[in-house]
Amino acid sequence: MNTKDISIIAMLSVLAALTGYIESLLLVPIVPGAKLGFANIISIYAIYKLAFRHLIAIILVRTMLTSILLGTFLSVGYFLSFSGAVVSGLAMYLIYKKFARVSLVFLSIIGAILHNLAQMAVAYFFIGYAYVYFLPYLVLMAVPSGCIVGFISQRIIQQSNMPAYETQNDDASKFFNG
Amino acid sequence: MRKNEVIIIMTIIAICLTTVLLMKYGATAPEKKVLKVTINKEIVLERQITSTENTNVDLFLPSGHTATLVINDGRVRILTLPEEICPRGICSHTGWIKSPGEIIVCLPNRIVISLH
Repeated sequence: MNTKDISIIAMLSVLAALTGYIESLLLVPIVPGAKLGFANIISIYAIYKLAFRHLIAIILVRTMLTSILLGTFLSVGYFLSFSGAVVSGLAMYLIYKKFARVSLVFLSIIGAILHNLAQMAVAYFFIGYAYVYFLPYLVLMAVPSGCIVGFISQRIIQQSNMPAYETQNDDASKFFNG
Repeated sequence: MRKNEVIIIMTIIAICLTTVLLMKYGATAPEKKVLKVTINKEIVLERQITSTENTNVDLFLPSGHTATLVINDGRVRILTLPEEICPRGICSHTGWIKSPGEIIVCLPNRIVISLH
């Protein structure tokens, strides 16, 4: 990690954390746990424009910052949003790498659905099977919200002047081997 | 989006819509319902409620606070909890539940209130 990496991660994490915080103030969820997920825009941006290490660092920092701002750090809600963000981020990254022709909106919708599935798996440890009741509602809401997030990300990525970050070395194995 | 992608998304939507419709209209409304409350996956209350019952039930939480359930005309809701144990108040925002299968969840306190 050099200084450029650190500053990119810091800027995007704070941006994502603030987006998530403002969103949670504006929206009263209809179904527990349902929200638009605008912070996901930053994850998608990182997948398309940055390297794997940036993506992971941004997800870790932004979930922590958002929960500290909301006062839910290390509570049940924190573990749910953390697991959802990590699983959907990793899944979107893998799908993007595996199928290069996949469209951004589809990627975003799949990310939103997997976010809910991961949350449900973690919720099982806290409250048992009860959360399954919300799953069809959550997935139904994930499709339009994933669409909105996808269109916004597409627009942002098209407009962004930043060149894709070292695309030839952008590899997950490099991250794990240091 | 490409054609295959639209098909995948449509399939997911169709499965979810079917599940939601089955959950909403598949079950018949029985005369007597069973109210079940679990805290930390342990059953703390399980009993029948009738459509004429009008009572309040206190639940004692592990955090030392008390949550109040209101049972009225075969419906159940939870009163707003103090903000320090339930910051976002999603459980009390759920409002009344009345048909079997509906649930109220309070994640921060790990309370699940369900009707069967």
